[in-house]
Amino acid sequence: MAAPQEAAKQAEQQQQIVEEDEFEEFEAEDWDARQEDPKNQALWEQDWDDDNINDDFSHRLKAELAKQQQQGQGA
Amino acid sequence: MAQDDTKEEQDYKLQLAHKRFLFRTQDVADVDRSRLQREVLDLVQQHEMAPVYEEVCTELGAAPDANRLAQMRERNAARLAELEEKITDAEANAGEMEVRDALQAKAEFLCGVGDHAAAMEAFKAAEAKTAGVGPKMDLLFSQIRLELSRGDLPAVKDQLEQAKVLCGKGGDWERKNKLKVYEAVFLMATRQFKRAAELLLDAIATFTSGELMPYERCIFYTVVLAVVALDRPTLKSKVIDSPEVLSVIDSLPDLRPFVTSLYDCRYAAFFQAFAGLTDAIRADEYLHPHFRFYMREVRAVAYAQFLESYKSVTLASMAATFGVSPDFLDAELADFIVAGRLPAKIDKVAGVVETNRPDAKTALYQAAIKQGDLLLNRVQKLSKVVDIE
Repeated sequence: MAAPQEAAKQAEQQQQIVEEDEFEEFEAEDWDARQEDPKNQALWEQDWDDDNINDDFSHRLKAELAKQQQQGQGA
Repeated sequence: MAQDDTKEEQDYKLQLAHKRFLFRTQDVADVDRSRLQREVLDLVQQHEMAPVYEEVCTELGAAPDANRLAQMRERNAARLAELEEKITDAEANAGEMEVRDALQAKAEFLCGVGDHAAAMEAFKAAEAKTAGVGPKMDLLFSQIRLELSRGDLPAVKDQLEQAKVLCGKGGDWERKNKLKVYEAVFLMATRQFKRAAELLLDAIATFTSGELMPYERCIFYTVVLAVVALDRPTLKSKVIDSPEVLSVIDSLPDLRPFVTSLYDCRYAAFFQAFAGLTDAIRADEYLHPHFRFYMREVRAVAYAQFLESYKSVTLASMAATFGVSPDFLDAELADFIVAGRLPAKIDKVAGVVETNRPDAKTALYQAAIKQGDLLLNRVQKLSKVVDIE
């Protein structure tokens, strides 16, 4: 009884290994300064937040604090 | 540049650059553009900056006065001829020192009227005749200020490198200190806030860069950057308790409450001060491009500091502490949690924020499992290639 179970388990493992083959592994990038684009003048890393011009926290905060103030006075 | 005992005035080119920045930038609060326009034109005319006059007029939407421009050009030409004569005279009749001084005077003049190309050439000529690390560094400082006023950060970076190399070869203490502030400005302008804060803290005890910025401005930058760059104990010892900082911190209304309320964990007061300070930060030409980034960093620090004391806390209670509504705070926290900036999760149903900071042992355990997994993965791959018995 042990042998066929063993075989089944092995077949399963083989399958798992094969499945994993379908995922390509990417080589670890090995950069150094020489490979950087000298023409790229960006001096700091842009944040996604920089482009989000519609959402300005300072305005939201001021509005929120004003609202809280009003509500506090109204209470 | 002569060092006198009176407080040194900021280089007018930098004042001019700042005013031009305020004029053209849309999202700065409380800007009196008509007054700025007058001030800008006054500065340009006062210093006879013919080379930039037309450019400035276009920027301001003002019509250039052709007569005025002609006059300025005439005066520039006359002065330049004078300076050229001094150079030839010195070359013929005087020593190297006099020649050097005359060359520097020409360079400073061209720099002062805003003729960038000619100024850079003249600086090169002066530099060639300049011996001594100190005077060479002074020439670089002048050039850095010129490039800062033009917003040419790559040029500033380059000149800073040169200055640092020179300084390493024997810069005196005063110039070394000056360089720290110059470098800090560049770092701040390129979002390297931590290093900028460190340099400023180093330099404020012996500030000698008045031509770059007023001392109060330097303290403003120091405090603003320190809040996002330093840990809490260092913030206390190096900023809050610093005599240099304390001497001028009240020059800007919300600056002291901003830093002390954060340290004292008085979060409602902190948010009030923060709201008040944001206008000043947005109006600064070096910080303006990093304004949103900065606001984010400040919030991350404040929320993280608050949550450090809690395993779980109700949204309502945390919101009340910050002086905001639970909905407002919920949106905020969700944002930062998703971005991986806060080790917490929100149980919306229960209205509770739970921190999930693993303790050291758990963290190690989890790391070991993760690394073990990776290892097993690689061994499996290897086993396909190598015959493992």
